[in-house]
Amino acid sequence: MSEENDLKFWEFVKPGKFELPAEPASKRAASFFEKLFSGVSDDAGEGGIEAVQSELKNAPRSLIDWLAPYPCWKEATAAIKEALLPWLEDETFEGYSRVLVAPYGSGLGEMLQILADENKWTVLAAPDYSVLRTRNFSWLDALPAKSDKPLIIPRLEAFFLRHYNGLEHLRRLVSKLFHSRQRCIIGCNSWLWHFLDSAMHMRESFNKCYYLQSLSAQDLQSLFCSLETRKSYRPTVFRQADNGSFILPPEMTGKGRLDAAVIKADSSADAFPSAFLKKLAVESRGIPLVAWSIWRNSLRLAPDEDVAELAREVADKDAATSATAKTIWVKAFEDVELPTIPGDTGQTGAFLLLYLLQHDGLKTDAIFDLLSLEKSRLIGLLNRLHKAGIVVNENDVWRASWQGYPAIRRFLAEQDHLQDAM
Amino acid sequence: MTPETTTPEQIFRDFEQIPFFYIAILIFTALVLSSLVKRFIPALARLMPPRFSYYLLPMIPIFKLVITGVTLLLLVPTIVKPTMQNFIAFFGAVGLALGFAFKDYASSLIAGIIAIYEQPYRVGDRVTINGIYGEVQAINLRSLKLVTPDDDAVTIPHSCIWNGSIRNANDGCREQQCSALFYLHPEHDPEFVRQILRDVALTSPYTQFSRPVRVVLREFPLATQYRIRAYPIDGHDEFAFISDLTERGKAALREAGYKFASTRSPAMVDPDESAI
Repeated sequence: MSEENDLKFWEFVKPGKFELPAEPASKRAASFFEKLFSGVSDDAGEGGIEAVQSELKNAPRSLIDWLAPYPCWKEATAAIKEALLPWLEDETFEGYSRVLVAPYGSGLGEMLQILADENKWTVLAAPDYSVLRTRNFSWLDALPAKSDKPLIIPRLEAFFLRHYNGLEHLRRLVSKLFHSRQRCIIGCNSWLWHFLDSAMHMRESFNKCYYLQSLSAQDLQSLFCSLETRKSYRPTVFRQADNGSFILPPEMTGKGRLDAAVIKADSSADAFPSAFLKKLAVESRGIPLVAWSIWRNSLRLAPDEDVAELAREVADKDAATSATAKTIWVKAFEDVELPTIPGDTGQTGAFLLLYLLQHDGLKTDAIFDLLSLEKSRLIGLLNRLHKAGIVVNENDVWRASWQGYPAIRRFLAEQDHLQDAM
Repeated sequence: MTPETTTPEQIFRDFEQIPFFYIAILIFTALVLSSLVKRFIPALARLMPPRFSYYLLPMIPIFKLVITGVTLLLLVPTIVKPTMQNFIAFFGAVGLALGFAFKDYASSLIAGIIAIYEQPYRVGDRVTINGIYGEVQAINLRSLKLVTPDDDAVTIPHSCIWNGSIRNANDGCREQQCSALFYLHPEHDPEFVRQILRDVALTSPYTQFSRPVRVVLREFPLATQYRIRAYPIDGHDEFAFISDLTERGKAALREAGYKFASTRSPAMVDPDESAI
């Protein structure tokens, strides 16, 4: 597959064209029968696979970093440009701002930052928390002077506080941008966008917005293959631990040096994208970092594998030239352990998780300040959610974990809380 | 033509014909089923997402009524000889006795049956009856049980529906409108105050966004009264929501430099309270 095709999975679409990855009914029925007859299929248990499955060991973090490194958002900037090109090139453009909306865990802020750096466009720096918390609006007087180049706001979340003064800051910013007639590209997380639309009818303030299209199973396959080939030099095959079927097409991860005999009948074009990736696409709602995080969690090694040797060969271009293909085992999707919401999370937990999603992470003090609830209760809750893998703390900023996101979304929906826009 | 008289011997079965063991089993089964319904449905409601409790809990009195009705239907033919004349005589006599001896009790029972179908209140509703506000915890055949915000349990006979008015704050829904009041010194610009108070409601974690958020005002001689009208996601959070709105509303107004009314006019009666 050419590199051009690899990068085609990033796409920004108009809200009406946004689609979630879904398994068609015919495929669901097929998978039901597949499951039903899996016990008598030739693949099952072949070559002692069942024995291998129970003995697989966790792949070390360093190796996972080589096989599934953090996505590079550079390719996605082309999709942004493609969506906005007519507007960027048109002198008599309609409307001064364009909003790009993407779900939590889409890397939208990073995409826009790269786009701004590449084109030397000005990025609007967000004021401090302490400024947004008060009625001091003087930072708005220091906005960059009007220019022909678009002004970039990579993360509108950084300008937002769910606080009575916070809304006024945002209202004034939008008004200022509107009156300045400055072309502006704004990135916004779908949870915040839905809140702002519900609370302030924000959608009406902007002429057009675009949604990052969810990644289908086919897109995830392209993404994981492109990630694998970015840093790893050794031919690798990814096989499902319970039945040995290929998860990613071996011809894409084999670096062109794979023995044809290794590519078995089940690696035919019809078998891809694999059932694992289809399930992953549905569970992750096609969100890149959610899918990526679950993918990393599912990688396993054979028990006799020399981890140090493997890591060296994967990372070393010269050593990998002569190396034979190695198998990375992938847990069956049903066996992947994803975080679940602790039973006693309750209404307070729902508030906390909603605030974390809408702000794209909050510092501990900000949580105490914005959620005027008992501190001891919040601390206990944060600890429980952290232990369950639902939230993570990075540099004193609490945020929802990517792997925990599907469970969080389901929990908030059950509690009737405001959802995201997608 | 002389009227035919019916003797008890003609109505009731002979003593030795009455299956006491069967009756005991029947009553025991009805009690067990009632008890199961009383425990099982709330347990099921707790397991399901909160919004389902507003559909499940009101089913309890309906199930109990069905169990009682079926038990009576099975029970009466075991005591009364099964002819139409006997049934009319039996139920007529029972009705007469109840009418005289337990007039109020019978009135409450009938009101209870009507209340199950008309549903002026359901389990989980927050109602005001005879000036008492609370959440309906249980609906029995004769009475309903309210639990007030002070955690007092109040039993009110269903006969209250005949003459009294019943105020239902949520009427089977999860949300209910809540109000937070603010009194400001009359010298100010109301437009900004309304915006600030609106933002206070919009940024509360409790606020339900599928319902409107409104800020209304009334002018009094010594103060301007502002009222935030909004809905919490869960009506059970009514007092927490009002406290949150009040606390943050006062802080927001103080930060913006607004002066609160120092004196209240006796005319500043909360119209919602006076309506009770």
